[in-house]
Order: sequence, then C-alpha cells, then structure tokens
Amino acid sequence: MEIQVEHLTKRYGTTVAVDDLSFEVEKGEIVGFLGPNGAGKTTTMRILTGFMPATSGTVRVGGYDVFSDSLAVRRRIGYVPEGMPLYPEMRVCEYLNFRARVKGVPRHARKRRISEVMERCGITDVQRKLIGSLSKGYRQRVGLAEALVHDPPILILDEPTIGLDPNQIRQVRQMIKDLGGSHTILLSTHILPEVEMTCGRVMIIHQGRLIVSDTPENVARHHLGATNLILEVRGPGENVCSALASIEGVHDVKWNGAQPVGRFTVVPEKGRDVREAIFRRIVHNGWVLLEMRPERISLEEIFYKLTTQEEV
Amino acid sequence: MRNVLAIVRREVNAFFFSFLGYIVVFVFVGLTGFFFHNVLWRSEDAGITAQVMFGVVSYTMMLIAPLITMRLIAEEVRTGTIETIMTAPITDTELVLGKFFGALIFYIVILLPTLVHVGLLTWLGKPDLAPILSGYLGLLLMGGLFLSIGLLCSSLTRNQIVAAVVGIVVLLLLFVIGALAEWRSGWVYDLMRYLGFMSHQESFARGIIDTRDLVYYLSLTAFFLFLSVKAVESRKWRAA
Repeated sequence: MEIQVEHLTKRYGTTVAVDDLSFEVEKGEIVGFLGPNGAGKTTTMRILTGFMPATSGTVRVGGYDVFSDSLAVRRRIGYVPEGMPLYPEMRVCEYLNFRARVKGVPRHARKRRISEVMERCGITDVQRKLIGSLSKGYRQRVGLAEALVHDPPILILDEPTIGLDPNQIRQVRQMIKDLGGSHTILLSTHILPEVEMTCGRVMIIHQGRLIVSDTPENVARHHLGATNLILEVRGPGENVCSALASIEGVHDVKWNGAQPVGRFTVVPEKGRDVREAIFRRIVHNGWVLLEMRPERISLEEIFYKLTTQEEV
Repeated sequence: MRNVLAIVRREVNAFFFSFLGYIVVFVFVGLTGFFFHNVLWRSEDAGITAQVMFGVVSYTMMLIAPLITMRLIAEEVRTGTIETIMTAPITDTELVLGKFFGALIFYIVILLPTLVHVGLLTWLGKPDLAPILSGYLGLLLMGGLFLSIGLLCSSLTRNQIVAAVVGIVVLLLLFVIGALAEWRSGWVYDLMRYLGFMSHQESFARGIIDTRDLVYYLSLTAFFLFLSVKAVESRKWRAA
C-alpha cells in the first residue's frame, strides 16, 4: 500500500475542505482524483505531500506517516503543485541541478539523472533557456522533470495538464501512462477524458467527501444505468418508432424526426441486451439498418449526476 | 549541510541575477562613497576617518539590509515556489539558514568596494590596521543581525514592500533606542544603550573586541533566525 488515507479531515476555520476522507492507492496504480473546483483535491494533495497538516485523521505515504516522518515521505514523492510554481530567473538545467541537490541526488549521479529526465520530458533543447522565457507547455514539462529528478516511487500531480494545448496534453498523458506500472501516481484533474484515458481507477470527490472509487468502466456501468443505443434506420419514422418501442426490454425510443433516414435513440431496460431483437425487427419490416452503436457514455454525465444529486 | 549549501548557492545567484541586486550594490557603493569622500576632505586623522567610514556603512545598512532580505521568503510565498521547497526533503531550519547565509555572502560582496576606501586611507595617512580589521568584524556581525531581522520580516508576509518597510522600521528603532540614551546615565539608559546597535558598532570601530558586543550580536542574530524558523513553520498551520 503506497498511499493510505484514513478519516482525513481538514478545516480552515469553519469551512470544511476535506471531510472524513479515506482511500488507498496500491503500488503501481494510476489513480485519477476527480472533482469540481473547490472539492478538496488540492488540499488533500497538500496534506499528502506534507505541505499542510491535517486537522484529524492519518495519512501514510510509502509506509511513512506524513506528519511524524515528513522528511522520509518527501524523499519518496515527486510533487507537481497546482499552477507549476518555478523560479523564472533560473535556467532549466540550473533549476534541475538545484532541485536534484536539495532532493539529495548524490553528486556522481546528478548529471546523468538530470539529462535522463530532460530527455524523458523533452526539454533537452531548452536546457540553457531561462524558465521565465518558456511557454506554458515547456514549463509544465520542467515541473514534471523536477518531480522525477530524484526517481521517486510515488508521483503526486495536481492538474498536470491544465493550460496546455491539445497536443501538449496528449504528450503529458502519454508520459504519465509510460510512468505507470513502475510508479504509483495520484493525479488530480477536472477534465474527465483525461481520467478515462490515463487512469486505472477514478476517485470522485465532492465537497471534501469521496463519493465514487472504481475503474472508469465500472463507474460508467454502475452509475449511469443501461447503455443507450444509437440507430440509423431507413424507413418510415413513426412506424419504426412504434416497432422499436414494442420490443420486449426496450424502455423508451426517441426519434430525431428526420426522413427517410431517421436517427433513433433506444433506451433499454437495465441489464437487457436488445441489439439482436432490434436487428430482427427492422429486417422483418423490410427497413434498412444503417448504423447501430452504443452511445458513448462519458464520465462527464456521471460526474454531473453524482455531484448535483448530492445537493438536491 | 548539503541542503543549506544548495539554498545558499541559489540565493547568491538570484541576487546577482536580479535587477534589485544591482540597485542595492549601486546605492550602497554610491552612498558610502559619497559620505567617505565628504569626510575624507575634512579629516586630519586616518584612524578617525576609518571610524567614520564604519559608521557610514552602519547607517547605510539600515536601509540596504531589508532591501537585500525582503524577497527571500516573501517572494517564494507569493509565487508559490515555497510549496516546492517545503515539500522537498529539507528542514525549515536548513531553509532559513540557507537563505540567511546566501544574504550574508551577498552582503560581504557589496562590502568589498569599501576596501578601496581603506586603500586610500593607507595611501594618504597611516591608520592603525588592527581597528580596521576589528571594524570589519563588527560590520560582519552587524550585517548578520540586520539580515536576520530582515529575514524574519520577509517570512511574515508575502508582500516584499511590507517586508522591507517593517525591516527598516525595526532597524531604526534599534538605532533610536541607543541614540536616545546617548550622554545620559542610569541603568535604564545603560540598558537602552546596550540594546541599541550603535554602541557595539562603535567599540568594534575603535578596535575593541569585547565579549559583550559579541554576545549582543550573536545572540540577537540567533534569536531572530530562530523566530524566522518558527514563522516558516507556522505557515503550515495558517490557512493558505
């Protein structure tokens, strides 16, 4: 167990930022920490890294208590804080060298480590540049290189892709994926596809409480009910509609009104597979089935459902 | 120790990279040079001129030291880099010591141009070298005290201007408390004279190395560094 959080609570005055949060992260897992802004993601990460003490509860990272063994924990984590704070007046290689020293990378290994992480993060060609003159994408990668410089087994990344363009986001995600397996990674985001693409497990946190913790697929399966089907059928719309609705196991059918090729959304009853029946019914009526596919379920909807339900 | 050195190196580099660093050098060299020049034309005794020179450096430093220290921690808090520092495996004490010695090295570097004044004095007159050496020792100790006060101010706020202004005010108080007691007698005034830094500064400049003065500088410096460590630690407990 690389990260172990038990009954963690953090209060700022009277505001409760994190409310009795418990979770665990296994070695080698990539876990996405998801939640709207202000849900308590950053606070939790700051407690995990020892930047802030918890109000109550225990947190163990790499087997060490973050409060009583803070230095041991800090040696084992690479942390990319929110907003990627860096020293603008330093050159990239100077900065990495400084951080490697502070993080206790031995002198003889320092040079090799630094060129390794620069290679890995694709910043070798900007190593002589001042950090202040770099674009946001490069700065983000410098931050990631810094987190990796002492080869920590655990990475904690607070919104690592925020403010990047789609290409850069793709690169950073690929890097995170590559690091998984050999590293334990906890990353926070409020961008849902990011979690679907990179993480083995999702934790959705809302108002400081953990509301879901599962694989992205399971979250989709359990929390959105049945999977809708999208059909494209050549045939008379009203007739198709009523024919589809009469199939056993179909809960509801929606038609977009188009003729002669209509688009239909079939909502099956929970747990029923009605694809074969639909196919037969359409062929039986002499219509043409042009397309049938499951509606892409996005975490976005689940997220919306879960986080708004709470308040009602 | 290795961590302290890493911070020291970064700080010294940061001073020489920053525009402010050069302004500080320029103002310091300009002010001390101007006053030294004024004194030099009227002076008839090289030894006394040297004493006056040390006094001038002290006054100038009341203004300059808080400018050197104002960004040390306040800036890290403002830009958020404090989070990267405090989640790295270094202790708060190592951080504060690194910042302090970084500032002290910068201070020593800006003191170097005053050696030109000493050179001029030995060329024009025959000053006794021992008081000059003890004078520099006094400046070093005084610089340490001033910088530790400035560092504390910087660790209490995220606003550099506030850090500088509060630092200057504290140093002025440290001067005024001694100046008020000048030419007066009684234990209250003795105590005030002891608390003010000028009396200690003057004895070093006159060539006296007294343990009372050493204790004054070293203990107060250690005290302010200790408070700085506590201020940095307390950041964790305050709401971000």
